[in-house]
Amino acid sequence: MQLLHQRTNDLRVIVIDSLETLLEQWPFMQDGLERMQSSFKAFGRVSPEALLKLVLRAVGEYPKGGVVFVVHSMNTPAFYGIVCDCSTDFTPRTCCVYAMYSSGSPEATKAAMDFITDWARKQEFRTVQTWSPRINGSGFRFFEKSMGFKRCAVLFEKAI
Amino acid sequence: MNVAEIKSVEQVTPLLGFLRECFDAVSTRSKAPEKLKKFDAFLKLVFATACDRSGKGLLLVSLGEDSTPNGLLLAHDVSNHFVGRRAVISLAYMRPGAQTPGRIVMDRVLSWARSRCLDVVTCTSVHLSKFGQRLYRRYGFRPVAVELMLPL
Repeated sequence: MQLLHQRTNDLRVIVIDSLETLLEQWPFMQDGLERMQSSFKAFGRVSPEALLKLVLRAVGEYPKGGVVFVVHSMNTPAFYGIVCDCSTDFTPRTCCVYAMYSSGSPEATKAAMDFITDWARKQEFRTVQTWSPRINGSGFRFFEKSMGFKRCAVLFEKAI
Repeated sequence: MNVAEIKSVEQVTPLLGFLRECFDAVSTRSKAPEKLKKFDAFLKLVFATACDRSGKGLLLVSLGEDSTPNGLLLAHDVSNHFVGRRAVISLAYMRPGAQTPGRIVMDRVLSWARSRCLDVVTCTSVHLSKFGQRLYRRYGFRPVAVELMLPL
């Protein structure tokens, strides 16, 4: 069953909890992935198959351990997010926003963050975590000003 | 100066005093991760790594000239479908003034990672400034992502 969370007359959040809903929303998600990869070099190469695996994992863990949602603005998809439980021993219950895409609507971004924090609180998570490969001013502005996150660490990598 | 790989509980037990020193040094840092702020969590991580028979954990202790431990490094193979073939350095500590070159320890980590056919080794730093990142860059690491947190 498709769940609808009506935010305002123009904005609604659709939670993907069935194959039917996923098939309806998938073209937007795949399009978002392509746009991100063409816009941000730092994003690297993520295949649609890898994105689909992630979506299926989150849908499988819905509602306690994961959620996939799409925000529609004026009946047009404008934002999607994939959130999963990433808690480890001895740490506060944490969920991670593994993927998100915004087509540029600030209202949709705000609605998406409200949805993520509401869902995370309901599932008794203590913190929301995310990672961004965009280590620059515009990337920080998006996450810190638009979404309310705070930087806490830098991930380093060495190829072998 | 030498680097020893710890592979059993018997090898960990004589190191408890040094582990307490590492914990005190790491946990009192203002930006220490939550899981390193409790000694039982820290010990669980150390013992689980040492006793991991699958070979997915690596526990290295660097020894000074008098064979006393002066550095500790924990690494884990976290390979899966989502992150690919990668290892994570969970903790690295060197006693202030220790003469053991960090590069010797890092070379051991890299050879362990190569033996497991991993593609990348990653580590996370809470130092956000460029100055704080110099140590990692010195060993050939490059920043690839920033971790962001939203407390609820």
